[in-house]
Amino acid sequence: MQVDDGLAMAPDFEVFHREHRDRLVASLALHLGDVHLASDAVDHAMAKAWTRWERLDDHDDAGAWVYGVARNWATSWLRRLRFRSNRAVPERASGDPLPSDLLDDDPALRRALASLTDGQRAVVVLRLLQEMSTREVALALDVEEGTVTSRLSRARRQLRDALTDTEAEQ
Amino acid sequence: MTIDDPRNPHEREFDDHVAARLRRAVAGMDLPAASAARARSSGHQLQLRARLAASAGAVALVVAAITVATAIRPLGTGDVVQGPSTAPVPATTADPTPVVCPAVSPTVQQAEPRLPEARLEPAGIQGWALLFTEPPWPTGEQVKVVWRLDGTGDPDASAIGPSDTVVDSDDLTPHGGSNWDRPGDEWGTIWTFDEPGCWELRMARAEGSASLTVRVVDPDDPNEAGLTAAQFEARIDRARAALSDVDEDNVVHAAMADDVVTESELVTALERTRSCARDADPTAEVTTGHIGDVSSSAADGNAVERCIAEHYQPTIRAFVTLFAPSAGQQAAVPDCPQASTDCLDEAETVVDGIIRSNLRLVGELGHTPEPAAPSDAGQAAAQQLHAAARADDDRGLAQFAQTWLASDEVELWLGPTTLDHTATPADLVDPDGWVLSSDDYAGYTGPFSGLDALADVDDITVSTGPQPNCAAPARPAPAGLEGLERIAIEPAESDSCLDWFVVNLWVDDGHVRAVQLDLYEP
Repeated sequence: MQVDDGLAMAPDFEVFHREHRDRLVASLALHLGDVHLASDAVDHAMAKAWTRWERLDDHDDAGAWVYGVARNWATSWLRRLRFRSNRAVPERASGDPLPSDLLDDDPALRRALASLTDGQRAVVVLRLLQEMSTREVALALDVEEGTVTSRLSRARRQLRDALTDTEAEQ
Repeated sequence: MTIDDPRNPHEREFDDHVAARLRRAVAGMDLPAASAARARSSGHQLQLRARLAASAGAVALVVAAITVATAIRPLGTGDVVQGPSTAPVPATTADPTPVVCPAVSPTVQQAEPRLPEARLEPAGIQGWALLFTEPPWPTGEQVKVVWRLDGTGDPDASAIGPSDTVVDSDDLTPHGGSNWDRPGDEWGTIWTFDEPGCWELRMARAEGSASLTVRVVDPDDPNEAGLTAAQFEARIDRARAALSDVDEDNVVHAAMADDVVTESELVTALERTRSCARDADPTAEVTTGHIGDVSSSAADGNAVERCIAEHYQPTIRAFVTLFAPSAGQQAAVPDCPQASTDCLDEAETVVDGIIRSNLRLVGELGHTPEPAAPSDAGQAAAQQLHAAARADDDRGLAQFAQTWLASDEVELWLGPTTLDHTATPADLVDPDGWVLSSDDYAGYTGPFSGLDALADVDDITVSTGPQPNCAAPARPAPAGLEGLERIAIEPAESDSCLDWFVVNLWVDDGHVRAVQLDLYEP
């Protein structure tokens, strides 16, 4: 049954969702190592974005805003799991920050990304995959722009070494 | 968007190489699907939840929302929603008339094209009714009902009113058929009722009868809250849009202070709902957001909806009867079709008055004293601790300890109990020093950490005075801390009481003598 719930859909939100949602999920999954948690978190953040779409002053920053909200939601969820249940937080259960089902088309890249710290990997993914500016990455990760630049610089060196080692092995 | 960092050609080439590999690899990832429409729907639910207890009307919306949630979910042929959920029950405190029947019973569901249909109470035969006017029905107006009945023989259509008045149908016409897909023979009937109250419509054939009870209301009665769910929701939507300043805690506190519904009753009702849902569907998850807001996600949504109707709605309805504005009160809210500022201001004033008027009927406002703003120093201490909790390193904690902690020792409290050890300022520079090693408290499993809790929240609210509590009266100061100033740090927003906590800094002469973590206890 179709129900007209009277909720208007801002056309530009629909476009934003279509163009950004999957890539944001993928980016957050590479940060968290859990595609399902990332999906839930981004969908939650998208719902929040819809509620304040008119008030998001600069829609160019909406991707960074959604990523930040999703990241916080996921972090809170993981912390709450530990806080409330005293159970092991599952994100590092295997000791591998990127499970093999992520990026299984490019295992060398997956291993190289896994060698980065969480913060470095988040910067790499947001800059290179999301094509965010330094300012947007800083907004998404709630860090200073200088931190973004330095993390990217160190991550680039480490990635280059890791990829070179892998290719040399092959 | 462009990448704006100054890069040398080698870096740019490397970045492009990694970006291309990332894009290819991500394109091959199997991502759970979602749509903008789902985000919009979820966002709408978030808005509803945020407003749910922010107005008396929004509390009443709980019943309507459960019905609406069922309507939004694609309905199958077996979908059944209990009749009482289709219309709010009149506010008993505003309307002395006892509620003797729901809008329609025994069951109702939405049929295409959104006409309510009801399964009849069988007494020898079974059947269905398709209601062309959504109950409750107004007095003095013709209403049309189409019936599908099993059995044999021409039917006899009659209705028995609240004074045992018996009326026959104005018109009883056999139908050759229709696209209404229910078993049995079909008849159309027209009825007019002049007396408000509960009317039992009975269709009799050779083998027996089947009946339907419908509430009839006087549309001019200002105390009659017999609006349909859709009418009611439309009113509440307008009221909600106009409403911006009602203390939701006062609403909840007033309800519980009046013993109309208790937190434990709500929790018990939720547990029964969950148990029922699990029995019906092992995959069912029944969750609650804010108090009074319950939703489900299960393969067999119908079964879960039935559990909600059976176990949760009766409890919630007690809540609703307390606060539902009467139709007369709701009618006083301007419609504001142009959404002009003046009109919305007026609407807001009217709604606010309605809520406060209804609340006064059940008790004085202010069961919890208004939290007072802390001193500048207390505010600064709280903000500094919050920032330190969210920082990546321990420097913030060191600064906090140096500035605010008593020089010798700090007592650590979990709820009303002090732990058997104290901490030195040096201990509390390390996050591990904040861990409260208790196996369990308030139904949660330890260890606990106020620092961890603070790290989880983006924004905090800082107050002083009596300790706040989530949806419950304020708690007294623990024994031994009564004379100290309390700086309370709470999450600025909590999705539910289960997410709520408070970190109290007990301050003596400008220094923190005790740190207390408290959690919501069902």
